[in-house]
Amino acid sequence: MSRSSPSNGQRGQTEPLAALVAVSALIVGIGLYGLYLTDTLPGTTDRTTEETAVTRIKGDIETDGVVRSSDHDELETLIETESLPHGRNVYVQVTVVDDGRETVVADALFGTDGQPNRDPIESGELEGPPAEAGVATRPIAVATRPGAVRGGTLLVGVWNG
Amino acid sequence: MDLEAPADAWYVWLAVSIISAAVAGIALGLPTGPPPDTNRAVNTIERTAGSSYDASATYDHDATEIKFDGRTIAMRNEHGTSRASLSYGHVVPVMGHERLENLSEGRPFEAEYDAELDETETNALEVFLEDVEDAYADNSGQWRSADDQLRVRTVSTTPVPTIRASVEAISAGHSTHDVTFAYEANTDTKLTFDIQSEEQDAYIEKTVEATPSRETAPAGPYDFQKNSWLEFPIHVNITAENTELCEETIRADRGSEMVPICESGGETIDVSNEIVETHGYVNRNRESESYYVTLVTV
Repeated sequence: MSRSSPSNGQRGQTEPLAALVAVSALIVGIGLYGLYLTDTLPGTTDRTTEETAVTRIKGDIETDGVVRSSDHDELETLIETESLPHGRNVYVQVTVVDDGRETVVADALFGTDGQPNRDPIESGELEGPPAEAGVATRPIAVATRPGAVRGGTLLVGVWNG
Repeated sequence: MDLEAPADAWYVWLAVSIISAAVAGIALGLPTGPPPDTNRAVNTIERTAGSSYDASATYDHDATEIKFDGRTIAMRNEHGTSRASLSYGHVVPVMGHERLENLSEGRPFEAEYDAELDETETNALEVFLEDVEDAYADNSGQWRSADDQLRVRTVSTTPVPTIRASVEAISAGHSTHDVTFAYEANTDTKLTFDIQSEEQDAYIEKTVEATPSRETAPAGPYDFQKNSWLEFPIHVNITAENTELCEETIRADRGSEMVPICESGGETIDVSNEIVETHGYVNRNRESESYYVTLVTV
């Protein structure tokens, strides 16, 4: 039989490996471009409700620039409902550094309805803002007892209910 | 795998065509730009609306259309739609309302509503609050085309008129024929004193122009109606701008002294309490007795 016969399936035969490699390279290229795009395109900014909340709450709890703290649950009466973000959970904590250790002098938890809820704090279930909360802090002055003002930190955590 | 397969077999062409079409689809489907960053726009609005003093801010966005629906704001452009909700404040979108747009761009309230403030017949506060109500109703829940800047400003109105008034009825036995009014208001306004004797059919009705400086006026002989004296106890009622402000009953033992009827810092002419109660976006500042509204335009 002649090798040039058109019926023997050998006409114009190409090595398919080259085609496979070319197609794979194209796919990998587009994949890399896609990854690059997702990194480069500006994503959406995170909501910064906690920044507004911490400013408002700081204004509420300070008198003449000092937080007068005597009771753990005093914050709830000082913070006005208007200062809390609408429909979100808020955790507020005031700490001072005492003998090199950070001590919580006051804390409060507000539910999505803006009402204070001390149960999770009392039961020890909640010792700080939960991991999903957006957290903002501000330095504040805390009067731990009359005449003794210490530097402290106000922490506000805000998260969706 | 038999790599020796002939490449011109029909199924190889089919497979390569399918893969090409798929790859082309992926390439075309990749985004060429981002959807608008509504979170950032809302952060900008919230920082302004949530602050306790008058503030303003701008944000250069890349949306082509924007929709305000209560506390939720949605923005869209050719790359998609994004939405976010406000946790603080309640804003009024003022697109298409020229006077409010001027305010949102920084013109003081006193300048924009100058004509109404000068005119005693119209109440600038009421006109402003009506404009705000119209703008809110117009723009809520509708997609509005947006240019490249979002402007947000908290606008405070002029203080709501506060009224202070007192009455002195010189007592002569059980009656009085000598009544003096003292009054002041933080704006020019008409005050009407209605004094009715509870015992006899006689009354005084006197209308005065109250100004920011304290003034006194006696009830002249023509102010006494039906009788030239009033028998104690007398009932004093003060109205301004068709709003009943305060009332008080004076008995004989309090005659000959200035009896405060409307105390300082207390009574105000409540032009639009209804608006404050029914619409969340109008707030009242109790300290300066003014209203404030956060206006947004894009």
